[in-house]
Amino acid sequence: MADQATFADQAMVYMDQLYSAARRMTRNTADAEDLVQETYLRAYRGFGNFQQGTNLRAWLFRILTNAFINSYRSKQRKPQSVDLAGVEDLYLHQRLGGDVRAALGASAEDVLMETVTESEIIEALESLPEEYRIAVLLADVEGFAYKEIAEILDVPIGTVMSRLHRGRKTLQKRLLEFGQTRGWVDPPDPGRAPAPANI
Amino acid sequence: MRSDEACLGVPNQCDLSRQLIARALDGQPTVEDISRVRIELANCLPCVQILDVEVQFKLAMSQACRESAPASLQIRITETLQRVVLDDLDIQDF
Repeated sequence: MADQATFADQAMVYMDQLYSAARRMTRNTADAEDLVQETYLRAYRGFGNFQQGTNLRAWLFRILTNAFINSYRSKQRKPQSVDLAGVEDLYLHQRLGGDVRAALGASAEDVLMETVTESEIIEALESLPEEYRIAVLLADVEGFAYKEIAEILDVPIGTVMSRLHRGRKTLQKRLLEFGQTRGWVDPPDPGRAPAPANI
Repeated sequence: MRSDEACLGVPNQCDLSRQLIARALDGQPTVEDISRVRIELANCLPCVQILDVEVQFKLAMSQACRESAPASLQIRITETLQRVVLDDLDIQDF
């Protein structure tokens, strides 16, 4: 059992991380601030049930995610459930322009990652359907382990892996599209068969 | 990767490389974690390339999406919690 008197000391250090996640979930500043405040209030109220010595950060993210899904999101237009199962399995290194790579002497991923801006990465992430966006956010931005994400989202670990795979592939595809508009990446070759999509 | 497993040099065709890449991306891997998986994937160059891309991608995501909470939010939440604490004390006193 945790002592509520120590809540602020223990929990406030995670505010930046919670806010970053809330920004990507809600996609705007005002709603993100409200969501973080609601998260802290719920966490304070429930802190007596928090088991000291377990993962406070993961516990706070679980509250944040639940608050977003159950409370905040209900105020918004319900997002359409989107299945990304058919997303083309593209890989950055297969699609970068050979001339650019040769000229720069850089690795493929370095070329693309240097050309896309942070705002384009954020735009690509925020354009993902919600369930994929949250999975990628927790894994790649917040660095939670798959097992922790399964607990935060209360879904099987296989579901986490599936959402992550499809979310990452869709994001990479969108970043490639940004690269194509700048001429840094070769456009799709209609004559080439897509890579196997079984990962 | 065991030499008797057929990876065919085609990315993600074998379960083992898929599992190894997923393992390398789990949580907050260290450089040593990545290096270990790279060694295990050494027989499949495309798999190593995919691993490198995915690691770079994860790093780029992490760097791009970090923000600090506004100072005004920190003040707002601190004040709200203090108010709730006082309200709770009032209820207990009552």
